[in-house]
Formats: sequence, structure tokens, C-alpha cells
Amino acid sequence: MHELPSANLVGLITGLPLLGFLFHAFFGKLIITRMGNAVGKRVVGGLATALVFASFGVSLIIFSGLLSMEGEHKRAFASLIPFLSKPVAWIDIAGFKANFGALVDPLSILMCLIVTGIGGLIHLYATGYMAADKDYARFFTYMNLFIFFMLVLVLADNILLMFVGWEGVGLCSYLLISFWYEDTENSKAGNKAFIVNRVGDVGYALGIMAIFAFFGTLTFYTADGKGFLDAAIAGKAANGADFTAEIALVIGLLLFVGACGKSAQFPLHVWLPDAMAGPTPVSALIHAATMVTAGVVMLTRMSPIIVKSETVLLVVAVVGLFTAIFAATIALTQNDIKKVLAYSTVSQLGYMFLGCGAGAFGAGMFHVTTHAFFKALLFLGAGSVIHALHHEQDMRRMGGLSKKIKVTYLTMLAGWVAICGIPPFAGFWSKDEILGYAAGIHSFGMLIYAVGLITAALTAFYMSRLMWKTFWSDQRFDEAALGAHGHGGDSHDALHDHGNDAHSVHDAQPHSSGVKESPPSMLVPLVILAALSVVGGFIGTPFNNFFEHFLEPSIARSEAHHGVSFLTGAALGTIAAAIGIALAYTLYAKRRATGELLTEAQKAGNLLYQAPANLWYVDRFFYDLFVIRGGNIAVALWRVVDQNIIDGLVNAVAGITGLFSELFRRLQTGYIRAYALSMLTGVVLVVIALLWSAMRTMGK
Amino acid sequence: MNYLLNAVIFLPLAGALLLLFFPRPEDAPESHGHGEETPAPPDAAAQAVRWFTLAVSLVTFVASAWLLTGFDIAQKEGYQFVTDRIWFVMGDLRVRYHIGIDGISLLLILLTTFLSVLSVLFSFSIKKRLREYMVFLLVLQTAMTGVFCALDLVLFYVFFEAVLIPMYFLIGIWGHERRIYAAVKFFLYTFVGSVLMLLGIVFIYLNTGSLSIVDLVKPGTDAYMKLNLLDAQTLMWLYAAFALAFMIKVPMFPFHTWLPDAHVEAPTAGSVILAGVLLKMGTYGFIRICLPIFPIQAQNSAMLFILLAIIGIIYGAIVAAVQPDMKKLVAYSSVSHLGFVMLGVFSFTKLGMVGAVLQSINHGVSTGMLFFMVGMMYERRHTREIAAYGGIKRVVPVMAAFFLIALLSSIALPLTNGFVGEFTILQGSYISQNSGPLLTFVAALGMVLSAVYMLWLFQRVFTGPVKHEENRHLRDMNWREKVVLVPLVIMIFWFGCYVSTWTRYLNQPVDELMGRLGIENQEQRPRDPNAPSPLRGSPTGAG
Repeated sequence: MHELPSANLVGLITGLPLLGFLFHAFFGKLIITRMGNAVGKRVVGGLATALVFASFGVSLIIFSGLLSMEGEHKRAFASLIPFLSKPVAWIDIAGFKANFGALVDPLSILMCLIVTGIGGLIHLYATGYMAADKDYARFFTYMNLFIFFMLVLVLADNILLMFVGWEGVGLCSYLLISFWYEDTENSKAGNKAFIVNRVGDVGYALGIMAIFAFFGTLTFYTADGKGFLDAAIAGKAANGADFTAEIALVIGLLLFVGACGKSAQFPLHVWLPDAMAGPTPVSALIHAATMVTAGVVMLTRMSPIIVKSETVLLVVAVVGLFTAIFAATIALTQNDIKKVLAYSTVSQLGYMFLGCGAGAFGAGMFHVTTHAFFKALLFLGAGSVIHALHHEQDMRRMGGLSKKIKVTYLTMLAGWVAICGIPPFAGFWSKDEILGYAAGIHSFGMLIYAVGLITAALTAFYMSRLMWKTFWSDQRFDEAALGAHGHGGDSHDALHDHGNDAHSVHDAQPHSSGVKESPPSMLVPLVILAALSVVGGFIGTPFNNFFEHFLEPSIARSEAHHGVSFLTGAALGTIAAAIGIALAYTLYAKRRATGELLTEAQKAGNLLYQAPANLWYVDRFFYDLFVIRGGNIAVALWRVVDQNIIDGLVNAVAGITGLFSELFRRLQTGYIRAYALSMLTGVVLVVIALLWSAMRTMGK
Repeated sequence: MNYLLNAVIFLPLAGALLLLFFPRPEDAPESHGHGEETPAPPDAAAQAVRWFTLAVSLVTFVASAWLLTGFDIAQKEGYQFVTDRIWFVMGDLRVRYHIGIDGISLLLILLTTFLSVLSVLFSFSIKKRLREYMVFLLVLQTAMTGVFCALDLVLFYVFFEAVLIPMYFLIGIWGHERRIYAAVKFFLYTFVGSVLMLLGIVFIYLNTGSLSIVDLVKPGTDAYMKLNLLDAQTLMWLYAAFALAFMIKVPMFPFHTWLPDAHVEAPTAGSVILAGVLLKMGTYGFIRICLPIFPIQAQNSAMLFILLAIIGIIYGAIVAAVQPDMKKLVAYSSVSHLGFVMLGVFSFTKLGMVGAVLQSINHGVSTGMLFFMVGMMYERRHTREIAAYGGIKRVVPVMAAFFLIALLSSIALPLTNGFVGEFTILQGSYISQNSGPLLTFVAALGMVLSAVYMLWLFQRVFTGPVKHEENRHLRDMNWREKVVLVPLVIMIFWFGCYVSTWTRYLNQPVDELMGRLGIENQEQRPRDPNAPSPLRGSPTGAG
């Protein structure tokens, strides 16, 4: 076993954000009250950001250590608790054992770099974006906690600890979506996110149980090859049982349900668009760049199990592909700039799943990486736009911003070319890689490839539509009226419409009116992310694929192969993107003044528009089924079954015996005693009746 | 050291007797202000009663913690801190005062003494007949502790019944509007069950001449042989008599309807003790008496209990979701949580059993905390209606934070105590041949439902705009309330993050129980490679 010299630093990666969380939870508010708004907030926000960047620094050290590590595995084990050389047991009952241990390998370190790197930038952005919020300390408390849990998720050396991070990030997501809890809608969106995620988590939890039941261990890999992923690669469990495709099918599907929840795949995607109720930095960090990709990370980590079953791979690919095109159609119709990006995220996650389903986990992770760059950028850019327009999120009331907020515009432009898949920007390389592998899928490879290309064209179209409506078409708002409502400052006590973000944003001139560019703390992250979106793809070009080569030790070998040559794929992909962009250009350039393709009347009568605009009625279906009908059933269970039948039976039998005791009551005084007696008798009878029937069912 | 266990049992009773000699404090007037505690004139008598009771319960707690130092984890079998002498003789009947503890009892005793201290501290705010209230609390504590120590069936029965009396008065005198109905229902319903148990005890005694829980389960003893000479039908009925008493106590579906009424009407400390400790007397009864004395019958009926447990998990959670009353919501959530405990017990796997004991403790901690918090809200607003709140997080942020922690523990978020218990139970159930993966899947849906009712509760009480003007000036938590809750928070994370402190006490008793059920130590048993499908449960499951 080759040693990683810096392994004892691993605990710091998670330890620093945890420290930040604890510090801010106990002292954050105090600091702001004591030191005053201006200084206090700078201390709190600065500390939170600095700790995440410090964690990034440690990750870099480990990363370089890993690069220079010898041997084919490039794997090291460490304690997740700082300053301990050996992992401490968290649970250890009858062989059911999970440590607070870290697995350091390319996959986990890659994710650490993304989470802390992008996370640090978004923290920095948030110090500006949230500057006027009265719950500033609480915001950074949750943000640090999120980073901690996300790092636990990616670093865990066993699947139960990964589940800790998994549910932990879900908690933070819930807390941050409902951050502005005084608006009930935000709180409801938080609930929806948590509950839908829990549905997925049941699948994940059962997957863990299946793994333990079969392999007898929860640990991924161990130094002596006793982990369950070691066993899955070897094809035999520790007890000698064969690891068959049947077992891989059960475990794989259960884990996939979990992945669908966290990564918002159909039909568990419904929570993610609503999650946009949270502050925009949250949308960028949690609901675009990091947490929602956890499903892909998990599937990649589990790749030795997934690749064992052709069926699981196909299911992953088909669900991913369907989600990609399904969400893209909805993105075409949304007017809220954050909602467009949210559905775009769902769609892009679908691509990542498609990559995993094709057996190309490396390609999926590559898209996780580039998507983290450009989608974080697009969200932060959108936040900057919303900020500039004093809390306006509706693209119908935007337009003409390209000249007014130049830095935001230029960075958004970089995000746009990246996501559309224009060579040589980041998204092109990763999307192309995924589609190439998708074409190589045994069954229906070419069909899958075709749908993937159509989705690429749709992506280019809806993103161009977003750019047109926001930046290029004519201005469709009254600049003088902006900021006149006296928003900004600490005014989010006043309720705004659902989803109205940035209640709290303001900058140096809180009451200035008109369009305003964001402060430097927000622009610096934008510029850095824009640079990454432009050049970030070069780490994984087919000519010199450093990225996938680096990840190789973490990923199971599969039969994935390119179904089309690089040049064909690149050409077709570029053409698809070009079609989408050109179509948007020809349509929107003619309608600069309105920025609208269809009139309201045309929209109303057009089923092709109505269906995606109504989210294909999925949300409504779930609402009817679970909230309305489920609620009715619950009330019926309570009122009818519990109160009338079960409790009624108890009281009724007491009552009947009460009738008998009526006779005695004439003889005796003291009806309380009679009531007690009748009740006693009644209960005895019920009990004996139930007991008797119970004995019957036991059959003995 | 054996006197120590006796001290833990009887210190509270002694305290209660002393308390009777204290001067009776004046009843303070009920405050009906908007949460502002009217600064009552300091009443020396009341203060004396309060602090004395607190001192007694604290000393008892320290004594029970002292048990840990003398407890030998390495001891292979049997009980520790044993006292065994004749209690009374009546003709042929020789009832022994036989007490002793194993790891399971130890943890439940710690839970009892721990929650008692907090309950006493919380009850400082009782205004009506304070002295009597404290007397009943202390008597209750002795009875509960006794249940977890008794090794003689009659002694067990006496403690088991003795619990009812102080609880009956706590609900009946200090309860809310329908307290008489609830108290009578609570008393009679559980009394019915225990009457059947008494019949069972008498029958056992007549046939075996023994009342010893130790002897009845030990192969080779006279009592054991005589008991097992009885025909299967008789043993089944005997088992059923005990099982029913404990089922009502747990309570398992469909014997749960006394619970919401009792909880809603009980004063806060009563609800905490009721949910935290009393219900565990039911699960403890199964573990200590039903399973070891009647292993075959238990095995035969396991399917029925697992089904009822799972129905309880789902049903309790669904009904909890639509309760308009916070206490009722928490009460129904208890039905759901206790369903998990019973699922663990009847999985007949070591994991499930350990999980069941852990979850018994966890439920006491997290539900106890929830009841304390509902009680704090009630003291401020004099209502438990969810609709009377709304948006109060902005007004009482500290309270909201504490509530969130209790909530997360209740919905079994990882790193809280609830997760460790619930997950081990589900894992135990998954590998069990009694339940298996498909039933475990149904039970696991409780994970989703608990999030539904708890988050919805949080939303309606704490988030949104402040709905009622009178809530705008609610008082946030005072020092006494924080002192009550902080230990619970510590326990939530202690159990959640480093459960090994506690599970090491459970290895020996659970292994012994498993042996009694005919299931060997699972860790050392080789796996059977012929049954590899994760859909059929692991070969390491029940034998």
C-alpha cells in the first residue's frame, strides 16, 4: 500500500467548515449585534468564506499528494475527524460497523475541489448579495454546515457515512430554501424539497440494507481489500457467495431511486424548481453546482455494482435521457429567469445520468465538473441581474441589459456559450463526451444519441431565449420606477410574491434607483467562473484526457465505448447547438420590442405550449394524489377508523355493559363506580375478542 | 454495591415521604397573560418543595449514573447488583424481593432518572397543589425504576401496577379539560391488560411453584422444566396474557387509543414521563418476560406482531399528520415510533433488538423534548392548537432552534439519536426472516411520513408571517427552560454521533436473549452462501 503523506490533513477539509458552522451558530449573531452591522457582517461573512477557501487549500494539498502517489490505486484511508490518525467507530453493532473514516481517492478529491472551490466563490458572492439581510449570520451558519455535509458525503469511506452527508445536505437545502421563512411559500418549497428527497432516501436506505445483507460490510474499500466494492469487483462476497447480476439489479435500482431524489430525475424532479425560493447563492451552490450532482457522484462511487447489471445501466440511461429532454421542453416556456435555469439544471443532470447509464461514469463526472462552472456562473449572473433590477425575476420585464450591466452581461455570455456546447468552451467537451458514449449503448444507441442531440438543440434554444429576453431585446421596464418601492435594505419583512428573490440585496447606494451593477464581491466570482467556463473543458479533451485518466482508479471498468467518432460527434453537436441558436436568433431578432414569440391568445390555444408551461401536469398530479387525496385519507383514518371504529368499539363495549349495569345502578349508589365498572368490563370484552381473533390468525 | 440499586429505586420514595412533612405552599393564581410569567411573590414554602424535590431527583440520578462505574460489561451472563430475599410468605406463596439489572435495564433506569430530573425542573412552574404534585412525581419514579429492576413476577407486577396510581392522579388532578375521562380511560385500559397478566402470573405460579424471572428462563431449573411441561395451547394463552398487557402499554395498534387522550390531558411532565418511560415498560416487558419465557410462542406469533408494528408505524404517522392539536400529533407520532421499536424486537435479530432498546431510549429523549416544548408553548399561550400559532420563529428564535433539533431527532436525521435507532431496526428487520426486505420497505415509508407530519407542524407553528397579534410578544426561553432542554440536546447528539458508549452495555443481554430464542451470536456465525439473494434476507438473519 502506498502512503499518502498528507493523509492526516484530510480531517481538516471537513473540520474547517464544521468549525465555521459551530462558531457562527453560537456567536454569529452576537458578533453582528456587538460589532455593529457593517463590521460584524464583514467578520462573519469573511470568516465563513475564509474557512471554505482554507478547506479548498487543504484539498489542493491532498490533490497534489494524490497526483504524485505511486501505484495504480491512488487510494488512501484517513480519519474524518481532525488530528486523529485512526478513524473512530460511529456505530458498531453485531458487525454493522461504520467509522468516521475518509476515503481519499480521485473521485472524492475532485469533488472536494469543486465543493470548496466553487463553494468558496459563492460564499464570497453571498457576502455581497446578502449584505443587507437581517439574518446574515444564520445564512452563513447554514452555508458552512452545507459545505461540511457535502464534504462528508464525498469523503465518506462507507456508505452509511455517505448517507449522513446525503441527508445532511438535504437538511441544509431545506433550511436554505425556506431561509426567508416569513413567506409561507418559501417554507412550503423547503418542505417539498425535503419530503421528495426523503422518498429517494428510502430507496437509498434500502440499498444500504441490501448491501449489508449481501456483503456483510458497509465500507467501500479497505486497505486489505475487504470492502464491499472490492468484493463487487472481485465478484464474490466475503462469505463466498457470487455477486450476480440479479443482486446488482436489486441494489442498483434501490440506489438509483436515491440518486433520482437528490439529483432531481423524473419523476422526483418536482422539488428542484420550487427550491429556487431560496436566495440565489443557494440556488447556485446547492441546487446547481454541488448537492444536486450528489446522485451522479454516488452512482460513480457505486459503479462496480452498477456496471454488473445491464438493466440498471439501461434504466439509468433512459431515465436520464427522458429527464433531459423533458426538462428542456419545460425550460422553453418559463418566464422566471431562475426557473429556466432550474429546469436547465434538471435537464443537464439528465445528461450526467445518461453518461453514467452508458457506463461512462468519467464522462458523467466530467459534465458534473464543467456544469458546476457554467451553471454556478449562470445562476450567480442571474442573481446579479435580479439585483440590478431590484428584485425582478420575470424575464418579461427585462431586456436591453447588455449595455447597462456590462460585467454581468459578458460573464453570462461565457456561461451561455459554455452550456450551448459551442466549441471549445467547457460544456462542449463534456456534453460531447457523454453523447459519444451514449451512441455506443447496445440497445437503441443511435436513437438515444438522436434524442440527446435534439435536447442539445433545445438547450441552445432556451438559453438563447433567456439571453434575448434579458440582454438583447428592447428594454421592457420603466427604469425610473425601479427601486422606488423602497425594497432593499432590511425590508423583507414585507411580503413579496412567491419566488421574489433578493429581498435583501442592496449595495453601497441602497436607495438609488435605476439599473445598477453589482459590487465587486459579486463580480469577482462571476469573472473567475466565466474564465473556468471558457477554458475549463480543456482538462478533458479527447486529445489529452487528463480528467478521465485521473478519475480512472475510482471507477469500475465498463464496456462503454464511443458510438460515433470524435469528429462526427463534434460536428453534429455543434450543428445542433447552432440550429438552436440560429432559430432563436431568427425568431427573437424580429420581436425585439416584445421579446415574446407568441401572443397570450396564441399561448392559450396552443396545447404544445400549454403542456410544458404547466410542467406536463406532473406537479399537479402529485399534489392531487398526495396532498389532497392523501390528506383526505388521513382525515378519514383519524375520524372514522381511529375515533369511530377503534375507540368507538372500546367505548361502545363499555357502553353496552353500562346498560346492563343500569340494573345494578338502581341498587347501588355512586355512578362513577358504575361507569368505571362498565368500562372495565367493556374493555375486557374487546380485548378478549381481539385476542381470540389474533390467536386464530396465528394458526396455533 | 448492591445497596446502590436499592437506593436508586427507593430514594425518590423516601423523598416523597419527607416531602409530606413540608409546609403546604399556597396555590399561585393561574396566569392568563400572553406568556409573560407574572412575577408571583416569592413563596418560601413552594421554593423549598421545588428545590428539595430537585435535589432528591438529582441525587437519584447521580446514584443511577454511579451504577455505571460498578457495572461489569465483561460479565458473561445474568444480572448485576442483585438483591434477593423473601419479601412475604402467604401460605405456599413465597414472594421474593428479587432485583437486579442487566445492560438493558441499566439504560432504561438511566433514562428514567434523567427524565425525572428534567421533569421536576420543568414542573417548577406548577401552581396548583405543588407539594402533592411533586410527591406523585417522586412516587412515580420509584415505581418506574422498580419495573426495570424486578426479577420476581409478583414484584414486577406490583411495580407495574404501582405506576398507574400516581400517573392516574397526575392526569386526573393536574390535567386539562377532559382530564377525568382521560385518567379513567388510561387507568382502566391498562389495568385490564395487567389483570390478565396477573392471571398469567398466578397460573405460572400454580404450575411451576416459581415466580423467578431468572429461573423460568434458565434450562435445567425446576421451574423451567415444569413450565415447559405445559401443553402448547396453555403456553400460548399464557404468552397471550402477558403479551396483551404489554401491547396495551406500548401501545401497539389497535390498542393505542388511550394514548392520545392521556397525553393530551396530562400535565407536561406527565406527558414526558408517560411517553418517555411508561411506554417503555411495555417494550421492556416483551424483552424481559414475553420473549425469554415463551420463546416458541413468541416466534410463532412474530408475524402478527410485525404486521401490527408496521401498521402502527404507517397508521400512527398518517393520523399524526392531520391532528390539529400539537400534543395529539406528538402522541400519534409515538404510536409510529413505538411501532419501530416493536419491529426491532420481533425481528429476532441482534441488530433489531439492540436498535429497539436504543430507540426506546431515543424516543424518550426526543419525544420527551417535544412534549417539554409543547408544554412551554402552552404555558405562554394556554393552547395547544396548531392554528393558534404561526410565524413565531421571528418572535422566539431560540425556541424555534431547539424545536428544530427535537424535530430532526424525531424524524431520524443522521447524527441524531433517532437515526441510529431507526436504521439499525430497519437493517435488523431487513435481514430478519420474520419480516424481510419487502415488509421493511413498507416500514421504511415511515421515514417519509415522519418528515411530512413534523415539517408541516414546524411550518404551521414557526414559519410564515406572525398570524396572531397576541403572539407578537411571546417570551423566548428563560434559563430554567434552557437547562431542561440542553441535556436532552446533548443526549440527542451523543447517541447520534458516538453510540458505542451505550451499545457496549447491550451486547451481553441481547446475546443472551438471542440465545434464549435459539439464535446464536450472529457475528461469529458463518454465512450460508446458498442463500445469497438480498431480496430474501441474509442468511445471517434469524435461524
